[in-house]
Amino acid sequence: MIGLTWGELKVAVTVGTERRALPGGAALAAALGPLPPEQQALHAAALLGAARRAGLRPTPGPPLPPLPDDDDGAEEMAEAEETVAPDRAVQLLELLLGGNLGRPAAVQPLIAVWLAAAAERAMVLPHHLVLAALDRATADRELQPLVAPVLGRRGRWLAGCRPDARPEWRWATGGPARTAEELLTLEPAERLAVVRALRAADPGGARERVETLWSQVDAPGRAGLLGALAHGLGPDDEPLLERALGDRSGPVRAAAIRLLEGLPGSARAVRCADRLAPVVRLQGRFRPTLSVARPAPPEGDDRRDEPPSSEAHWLRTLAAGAPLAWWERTLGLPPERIVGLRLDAASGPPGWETDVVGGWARAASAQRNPAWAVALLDRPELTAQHRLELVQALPGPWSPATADAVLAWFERQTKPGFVVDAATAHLAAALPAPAADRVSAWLGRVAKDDDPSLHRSLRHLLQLLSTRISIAEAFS
Amino acid sequence: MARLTREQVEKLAPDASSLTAARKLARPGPWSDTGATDALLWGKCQGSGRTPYQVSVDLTGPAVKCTCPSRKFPCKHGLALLLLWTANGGELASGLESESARAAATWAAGRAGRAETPARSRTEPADPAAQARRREQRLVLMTAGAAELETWLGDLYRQGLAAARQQPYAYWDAAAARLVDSQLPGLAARVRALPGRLAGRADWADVALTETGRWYAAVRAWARRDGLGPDDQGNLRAFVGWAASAEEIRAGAAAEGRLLDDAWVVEGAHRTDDGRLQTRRTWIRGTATGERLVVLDFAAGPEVLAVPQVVGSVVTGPVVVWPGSGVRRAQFAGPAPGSPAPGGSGPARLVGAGRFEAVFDEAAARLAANPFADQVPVAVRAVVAAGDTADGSWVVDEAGCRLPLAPDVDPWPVMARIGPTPVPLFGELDDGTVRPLAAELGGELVAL
Repeated sequence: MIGLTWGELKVAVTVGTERRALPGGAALAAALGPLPPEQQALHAAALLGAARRAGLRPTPGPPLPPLPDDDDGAEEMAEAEETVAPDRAVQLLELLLGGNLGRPAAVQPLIAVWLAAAAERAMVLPHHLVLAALDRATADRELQPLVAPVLGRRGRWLAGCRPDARPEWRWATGGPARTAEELLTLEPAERLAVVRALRAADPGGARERVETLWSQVDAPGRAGLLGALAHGLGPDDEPLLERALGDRSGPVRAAAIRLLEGLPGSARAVRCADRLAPVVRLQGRFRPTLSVARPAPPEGDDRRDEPPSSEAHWLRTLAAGAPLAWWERTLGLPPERIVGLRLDAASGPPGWETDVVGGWARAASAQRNPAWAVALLDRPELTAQHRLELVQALPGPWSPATADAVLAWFERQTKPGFVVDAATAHLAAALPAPAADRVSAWLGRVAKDDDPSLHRSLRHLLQLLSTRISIAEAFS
Repeated sequence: MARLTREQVEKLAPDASSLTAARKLARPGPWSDTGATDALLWGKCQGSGRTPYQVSVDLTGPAVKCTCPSRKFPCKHGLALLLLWTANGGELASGLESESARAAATWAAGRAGRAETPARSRTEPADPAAQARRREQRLVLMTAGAAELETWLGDLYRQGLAAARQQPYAYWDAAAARLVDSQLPGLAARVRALPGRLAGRADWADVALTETGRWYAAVRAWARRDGLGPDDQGNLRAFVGWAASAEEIRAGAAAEGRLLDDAWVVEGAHRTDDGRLQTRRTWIRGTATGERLVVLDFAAGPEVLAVPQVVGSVVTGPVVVWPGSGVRRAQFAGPAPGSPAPGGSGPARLVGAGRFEAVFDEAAARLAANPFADQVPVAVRAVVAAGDTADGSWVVDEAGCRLPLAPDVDPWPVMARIGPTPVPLFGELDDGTVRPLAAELGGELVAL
């Protein structure tokens, strides 16, 4: 056009026309007239720049890759078949994910309630919440098994479309399709995330992968894999766990024991009960007293049932491992009577009461037994932290009786504000709807100025409770 | 007047967080002294401060006024009051006789007065001689400023862009300040913004050369402006920051054929805030004329932008168009912009979304007609593909042809909305990149 290319002009103007002459002087002068070089360059920049802007062309690239399993529009049909959660429910999740109802930790159980409700109805997230859900669950591992089933096709596609750019979303990318061989190629943390997600969708499939991987991963890897099975634990898992009791590695044995404590029908639970049977006695008819003698120390094969570095607490190990139903059967008493028994300190090794009560508490949490948990809340042997854990281990929704007992216990505390605050998230997820009236009545009795922290905690709890009730209504 | 639905109210929200905050407030708890007439809503909302905020909503706009300090517009309180009102079936409790009701009525009356100002100014023209004198003085200043910029550009090119790039921001700010004094605020803003645009870019020399070339084109065109037609003059005036005011534009619009009556699809909107000035571009397309126009709204300092038009809605009525070409600015001229089209028009669709190759001729024609235009509307069937880094993302059409995604756009939320299959996208072509503003999803045009 004017005998000068954009590249030539750019070089000259970058360096400066007083240092670098414009090429093609004669042609330029002919096109623009006799001008000083900087003015020629300005003319050229105005002309060529406008031409370049108007002449912008897209960069060619490879055509878009065809969609996976996209034959005859199967993908689109499947997307159409997905049911998105109802509008009202979607609004509630927006509030929960948007931080409007409290910190992430405070609303996590409600998000879990929402996700479980959606999964139960085979509903999926709307597209605009897929990203927020992926990010939240990436930051909070416990939500991953719940988010994975409601991501829908769009969410799974998004999580997997650029694994190199967003490797942290690996947990969400279609775990079920992964073979054990593929899992071996992943980083340990990613492998665990995929197994956890798979466990939520297909517990048996996840266990089979773990069994296949078992001999090919190192000890921390094996312990991690067992941990990934905690969600959805069932009797079918027992053979694998029983085998893991003989593992060379202490952490692997400890992980197996932790899981077996949640299976009161297991052979290990029977072994624990069998070792307790000879040493447990109920004495006295009118004011019964429990006496427990020192059990035989573990020898040989028993060692498998003993967690590493817990030699001093064999009795606690046995009490935590035996089925709670065994105590009820053996002593012929209901849980609240057993927990209320006088304990004969002189009958066994020093401090045995703490070990037995501590073992019961562990068993009540692991076996998710509300009657035992509620009864144990007042035992003086337990620390405040233990009691809170007992409450938090009880899966919701609670029966009205359990809810009443737990709330009554909270009301009896000397500093209820602290414990309510610590348990708010779990209470909001587990309390049955009618319990809101009791919380509300309690709030009415608490003067705002007397105990501001309790007042605040109860108000927050009520707000979360009403949100949970709204979630249930939105999905009904 | 057609009642606003909840969906319409939600689409007024400036962003998702405002909407979630508003939903939280859309319950009776925080509100007192609420009330409603056919045209007006009011109420007091207890915020974090001691004094509740006075919230007034003029439903004819709709326009929202709130005493809270938020710069979001409308703020969450205004949205919440609208949501509460829609949830209650268009009614709000309590009466007409409250301080809140009076505040709302006073504000609405003031608004109505302002809207009528242009009419009054036509009937009582200021002293024409004084006006002409002021205009002459301004032109002298501008011409001197343009000449000074030409000299400055010559120095810049002699010493080289590489040297200029090493200069601190103050160097550019000083040049910009002189342009402000010369009443060339458009050029001043461009000079002030250039060093920031160059920072960290591998192609900085291309950007600097293109941009300074455009300044020079403006300077030369200014010197010859009397020989330019009204459209070229309009393009130039917008670029240097001397755009005709809405009042000037309205006068004689019908006679000059700059009054277009149509049903306008609101195709997309983009808001920027540089700390001094908030700007919103709203792209509209006439369903009958096929004209794509841009409506500009500005708010300086603490002012708030007018309530946005809802992307995907159809607004009927005349618009006044500024003189110009390629990318033309417009303003709704009707008495009640925002009133939805009479039923039966169906959902708003995006017209002409094809491959990049097919839509680029139109974009090139627009830029050729108006080299001073910054953003050009494009409709393309495409997806968004995230890159390895934040600014390495692409907009890709079916054939695989691609343009960079505008660096101010986070690709992931857009990808979550659009998915893996190309959809009709509306966006702006800006500085060689594409900024998606709306997409046709599930047969409906929605803002991204």
